[in-house]
Amino acid sequence: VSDSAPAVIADRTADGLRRGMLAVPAADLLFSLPILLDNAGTYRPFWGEALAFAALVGITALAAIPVLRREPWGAWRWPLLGAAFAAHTAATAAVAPADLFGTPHWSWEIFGWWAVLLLLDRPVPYLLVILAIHLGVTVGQVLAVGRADTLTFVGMSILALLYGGLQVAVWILGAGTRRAAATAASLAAEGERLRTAELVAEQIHRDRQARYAELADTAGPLLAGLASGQLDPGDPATRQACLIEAARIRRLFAETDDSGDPLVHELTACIDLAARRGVVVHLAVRGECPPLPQPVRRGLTEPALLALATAASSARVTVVAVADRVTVSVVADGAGPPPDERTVPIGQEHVDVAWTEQGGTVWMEATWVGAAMSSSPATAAGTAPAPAVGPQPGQTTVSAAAR
Amino acid sequence: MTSVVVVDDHPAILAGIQAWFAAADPPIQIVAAGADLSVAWTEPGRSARIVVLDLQLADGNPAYGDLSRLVDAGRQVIVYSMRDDTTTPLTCLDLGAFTYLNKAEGHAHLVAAVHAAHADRAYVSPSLAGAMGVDRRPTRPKLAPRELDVLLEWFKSESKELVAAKLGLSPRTVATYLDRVRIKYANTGRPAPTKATLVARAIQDGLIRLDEL
Repeated sequence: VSDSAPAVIADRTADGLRRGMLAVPAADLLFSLPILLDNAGTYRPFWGEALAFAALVGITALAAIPVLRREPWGAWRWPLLGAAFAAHTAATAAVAPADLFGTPHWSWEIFGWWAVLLLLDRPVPYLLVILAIHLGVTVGQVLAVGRADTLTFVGMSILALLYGGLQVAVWILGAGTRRAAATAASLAAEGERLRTAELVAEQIHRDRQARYAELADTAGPLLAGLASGQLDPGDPATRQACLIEAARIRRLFAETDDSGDPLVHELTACIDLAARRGVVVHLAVRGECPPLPQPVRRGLTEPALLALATAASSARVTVVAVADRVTVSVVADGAGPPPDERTVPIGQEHVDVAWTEQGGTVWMEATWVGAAMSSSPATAAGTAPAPAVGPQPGQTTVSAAAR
Repeated sequence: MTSVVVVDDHPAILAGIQAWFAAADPPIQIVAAGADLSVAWTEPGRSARIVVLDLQLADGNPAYGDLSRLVDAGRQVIVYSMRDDTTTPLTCLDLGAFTYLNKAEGHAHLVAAVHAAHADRAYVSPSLAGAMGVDRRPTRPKLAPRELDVLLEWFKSESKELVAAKLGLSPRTVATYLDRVRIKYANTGRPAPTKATLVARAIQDGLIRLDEL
């Protein structure tokens, strides 16, 4: 059940209809009580008629439960209808043959209201068949007590036409209202869906523009340089810049994908490009990665992308997540990234990047430490490895800790 | 002569392992090889103490039951698997596997692991080190922060020289840290002959003292 406005309107309409239609047999019963008591002496026997009346009061109370709780009839529908049918048949059976369709026979026309209430959400043949069965059983009862005279049948026909027509008309009115409410609800839902789609499209458009702006800062000048001939496509530096931009674009595509582990998914996009160049890349992941905001993921993948762009023939990419510490590491054979690329643009959070070079191997480690752990370094030391240590002789380490 | 039995259902892997072992120094002799466990339980494979076991044989499920039975029979099982996750290596270790190698780790690690198994000395592959480094199960042994550092840096770099340079240690010390962690793991969980011999050998070598366990 939706709680959107149109659905609420449809639900309220249906609830109102059912309450109104329950009120009709309830009121009828109330007005029939004096008739029952005034004519107590005429029934055969009185307790039979009184019992049928009590049963109908009970049925009204039972039917009121799903109506007031705004629940569908469910399994209640047919037992309630069957009980009402039985009570009405019993009430007719206790009426003296001479009083059939007269004042003491208060019960006969009420049955149709039960059928209207309980079958409102069913196709109209259900109602017609039930009313016809009731009429047929009554005819059988009349014949059984030997009142097969014209007068009785005329009385019965008038009552049947009058009340049956009224009941069918009310049913049609109710069903029509239900349908109209349902149509209104679905139209309103469609309108809401369109508005949502419009908002989503706007947001996507804004995101695309933002992404284009990001690319325009880096890929734009590169493309302009290539187009104007200022940059030489044969120059290794230009080629490397192209590789890096291509990897950034791939990562942008991957950022909008829906995947179980976005960090690994975006890393895979960066790796893909290196693999296409013939670099053998092995990716291994250990630990459960906590959900990371996109700027953090980008801060972690950006240096990996740079390291992979310089890999000559093989690279090992690892992701290690321990508690609130996530490290992306790339070990690659190659010349090492150009010095000006060693500071990495990073978003709101801390991502520490350390580059180590040793004997033709470049080792990049980008580490993000979650807020819970960075605020208490004492616990961090006890549960997780210490961050990259300072420079050792024979190697260079550049750390970029950004805001 | 170090003799091993190799269980793997990929002929190309078997052939590759055969070539690596023939070229190893000291050489390693494959006394039997085949696609299922029967080669390890019947002669001539039965007499080889070291078993190189592909965890994922034809039926697709990890052969943990077979691993346990081999361990209980006193065999040194080197699990050699395609699986590259956290739980599989730790489960194998709990069951008493000698060590765990990922198939991407290849030649150098497999030969070194067999030599280590022959000498009852610990061997920690990078994939196993990574799993130990992120192990957060309550049953895990207590590791020092430095030991965790060495495990994870070894997993990331696959090079003891790089780990040594990064942490300001000698490559030999890095290896000692790794071996000590392996002994600590051997001292937890279900008892197994492999674990007992590893611990005994480590104490004999002075790698670890009784009161440290």
